[in-house]
Amino acid sequence: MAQATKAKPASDKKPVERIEHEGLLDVRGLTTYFKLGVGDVRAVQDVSFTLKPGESLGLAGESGCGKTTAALSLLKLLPENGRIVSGEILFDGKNLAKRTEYGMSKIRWKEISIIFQGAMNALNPVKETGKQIAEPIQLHEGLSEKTAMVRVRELFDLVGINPKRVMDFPHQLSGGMRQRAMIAMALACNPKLVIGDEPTTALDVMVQAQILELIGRLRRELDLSFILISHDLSVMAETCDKGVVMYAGEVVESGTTADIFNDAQHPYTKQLIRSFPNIHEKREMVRSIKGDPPNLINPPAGCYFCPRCDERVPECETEHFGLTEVATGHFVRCVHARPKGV
Amino acid sequence: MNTQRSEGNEGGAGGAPLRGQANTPAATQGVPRRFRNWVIFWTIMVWVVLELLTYPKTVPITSGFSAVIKGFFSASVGDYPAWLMILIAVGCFAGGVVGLVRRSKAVTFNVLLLVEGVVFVVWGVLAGGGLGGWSAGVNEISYNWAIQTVAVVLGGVTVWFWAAGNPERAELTTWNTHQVWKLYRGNWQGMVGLTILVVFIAMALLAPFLADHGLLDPNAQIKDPHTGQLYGPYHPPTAYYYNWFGTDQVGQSVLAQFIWSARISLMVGLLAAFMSTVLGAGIGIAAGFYGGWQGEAWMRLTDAFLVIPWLPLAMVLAAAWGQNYYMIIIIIGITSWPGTARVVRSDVLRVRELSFIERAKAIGSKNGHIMSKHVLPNVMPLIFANLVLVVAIAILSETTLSFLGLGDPLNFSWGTMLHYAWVNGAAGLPAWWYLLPPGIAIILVVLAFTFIGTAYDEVLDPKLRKREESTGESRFAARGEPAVAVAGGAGLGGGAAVFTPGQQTDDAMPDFNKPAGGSIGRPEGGGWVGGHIQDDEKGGE
Repeated sequence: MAQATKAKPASDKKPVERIEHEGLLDVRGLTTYFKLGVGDVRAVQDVSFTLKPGESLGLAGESGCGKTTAALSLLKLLPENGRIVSGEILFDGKNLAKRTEYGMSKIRWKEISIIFQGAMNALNPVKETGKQIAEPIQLHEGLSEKTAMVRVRELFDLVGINPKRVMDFPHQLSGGMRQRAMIAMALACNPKLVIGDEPTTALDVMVQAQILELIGRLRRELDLSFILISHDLSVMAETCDKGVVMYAGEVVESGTTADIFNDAQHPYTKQLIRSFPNIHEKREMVRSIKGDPPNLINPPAGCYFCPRCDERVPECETEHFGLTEVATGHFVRCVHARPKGV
Repeated sequence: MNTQRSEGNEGGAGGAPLRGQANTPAATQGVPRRFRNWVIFWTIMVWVVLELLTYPKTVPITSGFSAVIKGFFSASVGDYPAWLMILIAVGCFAGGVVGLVRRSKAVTFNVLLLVEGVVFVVWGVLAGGGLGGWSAGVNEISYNWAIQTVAVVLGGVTVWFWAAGNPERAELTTWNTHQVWKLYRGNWQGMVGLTILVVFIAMALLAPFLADHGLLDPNAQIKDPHTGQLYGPYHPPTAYYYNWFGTDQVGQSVLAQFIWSARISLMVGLLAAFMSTVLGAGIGIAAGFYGGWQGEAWMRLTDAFLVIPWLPLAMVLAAAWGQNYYMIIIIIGITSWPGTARVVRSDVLRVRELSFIERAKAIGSKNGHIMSKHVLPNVMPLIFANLVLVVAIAILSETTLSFLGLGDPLNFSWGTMLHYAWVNGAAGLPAWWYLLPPGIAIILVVLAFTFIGTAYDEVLDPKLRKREESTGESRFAARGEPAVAVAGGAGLGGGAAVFTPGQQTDDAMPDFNKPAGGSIGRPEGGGWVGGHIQDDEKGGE
């Protein structure tokens, strides 16, 4: 806007070399550890995926499998004891893994933004909702509060809240509206990529559907890339083009959503699908996956899923398998995985 | 108060106001009616308090009604220290210049701020010009009264124009006051405390009218004008006004001392508590917000102040810095903040972990911004409640210091009275009339502040509230639209009577004061039912 002249001319900075990579976001071998007194928790290990502009990707898995950590690593918003050990996060020609805190502050919100987990708590209860949404606009675009509020009104309209309610406090909005407000906040600086960290988890099914519909509409209208983090496979199936299933910090299966749902290869994915009720096919009891994920400080030598797996073979106990490409773009980390047609 | 009045109107309108239609533009220039009343009420209040505070001590009540009135309007610039005026003037100039430079839309407001700054400078110069030295009140110029009035009225007008620029914020301000008062009123402890306090504050403010300041002169003895009786030392109380509380060791009126002491005791208590709270809150927020060595450093400083026995420290400081009540305020301020800092820090530790702080950090907000805009508002209720309790402590501290003979020797406070009573053997006589009044007054005032603090805490913290007060329908549902009562009142307001979609009215803010007869005259096309639905969650979901 008018403040564009304020920004320093590009010639001032030393030209940043553009790294050629696939798609908008290319994550290669991302590994994140948390430092604890007893040792390092390997929260995310060797996670790779790519995302094209306008595409959406779902990160699924049970609690504690590293979904959120992987997403926070993208923005380098890890807690103090977390660090990215290795891997590259290539976003729009820049390697985010090597950026400084200052460098990241230029990326956050302007290029990648995040819809936080639990909209109830992510809004300050004693500050007007609209003003909180105006904060990133003021901060990143140097606009005055007044100008920013004009934008906030537009954003409210965009996400389907009456713009007159910008001066309402969070407790005066319903749960769905708060979630919408959080989405508005994520969209405040026109990012290219939005990460939704369990955006529908605390909502009832009706509102959940509305929010998912809204996200879908916004993605089409604004041509956004979207990463959805959810433990709910059905949400992922509904919203995403691609899916990544994680277990114990590792990718166990990745591919298009159709690959994952119709042709699940990894026993964990299969069990995860079975643990949700299916309304189309014959009625079957929902089955839970027995056991717990392994301790990530001292992970077992073999396959991490081995103790809970119903298809295990003796090799699983000792050997840690890599990802096998069973079909084009469909990767599975399992001893049983065989490339199709071979 | 005016808040009560508006509530009465609301009730008179007969039932909860319904939401109007949604076509009114959100940003409307205009002062919300309730805020209008609010500004008028507080301008008058501030004016009266300032006039009473600065009423010249030299005009005694005994000089007759006309003299009192004349005194009221004469040189009423009292004891403002110069730095206060400079501070206000600088603040006004800074606000005005910043507003104009940033091209804020409220131009009038900013210009008025500048004018207010000029008024304060003129006031200071006029007040201090005569005898030199920048202390207002040194020079008794009769039109200082006029300048004070101009300053207060201009202040009111400035707030008014601020409200015109920020109608939503203004509405919020009045609404908050209104809500807090509604809840507060139901708390008997709070009301008892407030009543006691109002009595004492009124006594302090009206001191020039209640007791002749001349009677505090070391040689002044009281003489009944009717009987001609001269009251000697330690005379027990009689029916004569100035002898209601008897006399002291030199035959001075204890009543006059008692009344004038209220001023110093209350003022020292309030200002010291304010200073202590500002210090404590700032350090507490810093200590809580910064983890690591910075937080530790602040906390160790707090601990250091906490373990130093405050009374010896205060005595040393009082002995070193001199004995006037400004020094007493500063001494109490810098020795009593650690408690506040600890309490505030504990709450900040909680707030710091809330996810909106994390969100603010993720957005990239600076620490200062997070502390002032996110943390401070969240711990504000605690700070306020604590402030009121600290006032009680500060009054007791002042009494203690004065009782030990470290008070201001030129001004009476209740503690000073007790000191003189003690050293002159009133307790052994026993001259109970000399000891009881200041003692009981201290107990009552401290009790009142404690009551108010507890009540305020209960009002602000829903968890402590004994019963849930129904505040009726959320007024925010009606934000931006004129309120329409079902059963229209006497049709006094009727601002919404001719209301067509898209039309901009002065009363775009929700206005519960107005008993609107508008629901009947509302045109079909207004469609407030539609607006009703739209307001909950925008349709189409």
